Amino acid sequence: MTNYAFSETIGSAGALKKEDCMKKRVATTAGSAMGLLVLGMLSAALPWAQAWAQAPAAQSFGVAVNTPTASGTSAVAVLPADGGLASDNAPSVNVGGLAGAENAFAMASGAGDLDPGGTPDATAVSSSTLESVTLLNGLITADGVVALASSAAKGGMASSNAEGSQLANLVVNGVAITSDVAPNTRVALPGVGYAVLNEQSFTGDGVTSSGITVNMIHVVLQTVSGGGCGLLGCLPGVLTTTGEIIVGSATSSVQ
Amino acid sequence: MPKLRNLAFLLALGVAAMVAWSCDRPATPVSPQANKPLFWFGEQCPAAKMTGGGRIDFPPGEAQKNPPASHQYETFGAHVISSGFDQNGNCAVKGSLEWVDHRDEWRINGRPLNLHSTAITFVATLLTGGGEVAGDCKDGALYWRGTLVVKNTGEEHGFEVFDCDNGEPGVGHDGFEIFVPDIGYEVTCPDRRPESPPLCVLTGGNRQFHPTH
Repeated sequence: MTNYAFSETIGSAGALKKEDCMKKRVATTAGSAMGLLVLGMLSAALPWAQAWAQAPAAQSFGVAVNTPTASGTSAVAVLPADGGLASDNAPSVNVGGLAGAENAFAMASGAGDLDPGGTPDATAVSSSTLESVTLLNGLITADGVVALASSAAKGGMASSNAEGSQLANLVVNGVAITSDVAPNTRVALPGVGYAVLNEQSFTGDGVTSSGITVNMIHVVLQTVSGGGCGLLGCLPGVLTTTGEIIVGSATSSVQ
Repeated sequence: MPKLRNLAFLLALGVAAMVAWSCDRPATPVSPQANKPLFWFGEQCPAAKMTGGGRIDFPPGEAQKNPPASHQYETFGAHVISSGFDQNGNCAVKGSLEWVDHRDEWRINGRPLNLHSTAITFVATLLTGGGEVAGDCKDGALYWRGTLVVKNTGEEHGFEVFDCDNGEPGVGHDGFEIFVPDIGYEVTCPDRRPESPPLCVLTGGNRQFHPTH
């Protein structure tokens, strides 16, 4: 606060007078002392600070819709900041007629510590399961969806995976997609946008941190605006994202 | 002094009962071979934590996934933390369990069987005969129990869990088993290895034992 006031002085006077310099030195010394004091207090609280730093994060949800006409998220579980377990479920989910599912369950669990050697010891796991999924009036259907994200840090290594995630009897735009779907499989939905199946994104350095988000069905809704043809030729339309639908999402991270 | 002597006597009695129970436990899915227990209970109420969750598929014990449409799998999250005995000699243990069995034969009114803990009352480490951490649970293994509610019906029952951290990643390595005797429910695995607790292997997720907290 004091240093900020001196900055104002510098700005208004254009140059520092000797007296101002003395005041600044005193203020800076006082500021440094305060800073050291704060650092000392933080050091005294180091065990707590370290434990906090190992806090894992996890969350999952069954269905999320975000469009101009409808939005909502159902069956949501978010891991508390100090770890533990969170869960939620919904017998039936229907968001604006755009997305529907049955028996949606979401869970998130995990905890973080330091092992006796002082290295991070943390885990975070989240899952989302759904049945009888129907999107966009049957444009996409699936009998079952499992999203599972798992992250762990132990022994100086950190890693994440989506093992256990699955889609069952998936049909996209009338085409049945059998067996396991490769991560980040993109499927065009003409006139609607596109879908990314088994969407996986990773974070972290693999040593002190790691994270993953898996969205089993991610629909991006798009419209084309403008464009068209005139006497001088044709202009391309502009593709605009208007919303998204995510079904079966699980996120976990440790650091 | 009399209070201390009484406390020591009670503790000794408890330990003796625990050892006797673990050694003489009759043949069960946990210990299918009579007179040959696969594990012993170690320290009661240790300062430890086990957390994480995941998925188990049928037949349990194999690291293979079934199609979700088959409903032949369970998903769960579980967290148990013990701080040791409090001043009154009670085990300061807490935690929670969420368990969903997607199998058709366990559904109630079309909904998967959904169990949710209401209290965790006891925890102990699991050891093999040599006194080491249970074999194939190299990072730690716990037994814990408590009460849960069947969310489909509102009924409350006791439950037991055998919980195993066998390193990273948890999938294909860590193990978990649950018993709810009142309703004849259990997810257990055959005796895979004679030296280890016969726990069901995770087909997704992770269990992590934390020796400190």
